[in-house]
Amino acid sequence: MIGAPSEPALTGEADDGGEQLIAHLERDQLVAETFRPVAPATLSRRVRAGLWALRVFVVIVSAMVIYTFIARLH
Amino acid sequence: MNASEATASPLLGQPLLTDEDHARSRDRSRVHHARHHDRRWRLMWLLVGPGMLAMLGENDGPSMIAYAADGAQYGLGLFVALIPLLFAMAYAVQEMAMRVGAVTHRGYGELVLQRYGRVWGWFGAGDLCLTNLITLIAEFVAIRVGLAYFHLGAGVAVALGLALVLFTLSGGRYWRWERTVLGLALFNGLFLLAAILAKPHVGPLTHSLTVSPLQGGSVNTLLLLLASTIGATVTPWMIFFQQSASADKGMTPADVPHGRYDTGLGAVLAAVFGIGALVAGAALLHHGAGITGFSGAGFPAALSHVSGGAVGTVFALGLIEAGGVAILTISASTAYAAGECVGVSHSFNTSPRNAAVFYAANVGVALIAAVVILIPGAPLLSIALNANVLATVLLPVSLVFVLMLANDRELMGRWVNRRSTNVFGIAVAIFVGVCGAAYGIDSFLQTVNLVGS
Repeated sequence: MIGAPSEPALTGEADDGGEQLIAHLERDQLVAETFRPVAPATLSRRVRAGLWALRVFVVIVSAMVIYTFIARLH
Repeated sequence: MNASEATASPLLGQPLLTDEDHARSRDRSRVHHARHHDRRWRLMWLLVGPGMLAMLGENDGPSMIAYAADGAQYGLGLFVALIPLLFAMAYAVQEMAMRVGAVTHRGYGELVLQRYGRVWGWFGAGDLCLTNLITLIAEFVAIRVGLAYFHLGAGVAVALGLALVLFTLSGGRYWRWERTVLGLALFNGLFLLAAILAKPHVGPLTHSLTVSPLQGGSVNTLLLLLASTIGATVTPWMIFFQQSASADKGMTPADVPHGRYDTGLGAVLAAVFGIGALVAGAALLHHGAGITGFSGAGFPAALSHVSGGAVGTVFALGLIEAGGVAILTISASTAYAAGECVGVSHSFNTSPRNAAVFYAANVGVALIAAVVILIPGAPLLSIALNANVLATVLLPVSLVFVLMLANDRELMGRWVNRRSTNVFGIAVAIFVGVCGAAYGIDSFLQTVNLVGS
């Protein structure tokens, strides 16, 4: 879970007044934390090849469906 | 995050806090209070939302017309069993999206982009924008069909759809947006009411259970039905939406069990209401020659003629609701994807001034779809019929990445998929890929006259 502890960022009672309400958020829920990018995944050569095959498959089938759609309009 | 909206945390060493943090923490404080005092129903009420919205949002205008058309053309037959099976598939996929959102607090688009590279991130977002735009056009068409029953035109459909988007965005809080859309989504039950009011006769209904869609139909027709029915239950926008909405709602790993109830309840309601549309449509079995669900007042008018004015009215209102709710959820999924991929604020808890891309994408995609349905001679019928098919063809990419994210131990820790979830998830991805590809290839070969129809 993205390198941060999952306990609340701060502690305190709920208070409609404002700042202590932050007690109810986990640290990695804070906007400042979520804007910190996660590290890229290390993918094996097989997984990369599989993803490329998926990309080619989807592009070809999508092109077929779109071509069929346009052809049938006429 | 916009620096001008941030305030210093009361504790040294803590990150700056934004208005979005404060809004989310107010929602979370109620969840903590309910959990601390063991108020189970209150906790359930607070935590339902993203799952039900994804499932009921996908019971959209084109889907409900597709279910009714299936009923009118083929009876209950295959579909009364297929719809629950497909929603079970949808549950498996959406549970993963919810879990990843709750554990990582990040949306699908940003995680794919950061974990697997910009090419895949933008490829997924591009997929999503294309299918969302086409689906949104179909939603406006569905609203137009519903309104046509009341003798109202396309201009009213456009005004109603855009007014809903602007109204729900005006609250400046995720909670308010979610509750407003959830309130509207419950009117999806109108399709069940239409089925009850149609008073279907048990004899013909029982007989129709034995009718096979293959009787008198081609393999291509069956593939089209399968692809469009899959596209009516599991779509890329649902994955983007539920993961991002779960993060925006502030869900945490402790909320995952309630997230599962939320998703499961949404799946059950969506399946029941979908079967309602199927049963209502089945009233037109043997009367259905020439019925075109998307032309004029289409199904509502036909139902009114065969089953009575009340059924037609309820079905028409249901179509307006289904189209309206889908416009809200699909626009939201586009907005989340845009904000996440550009790397700017993407939350309903942020003001439009501080999340301009998010709000502009939300309104912009609905506006473009609305403009298309006002173009004279636009091929709306073809667009509406093909929206679900295209979503099915593009779905395998989203399914593969949600599976990869849900198995990413660095991100998910002990919340990674179980083996059984992986087996089912991989089977779903293969099934969807094969159905989409089979229809795409068969249709293409027929179009270029390489095989006969």
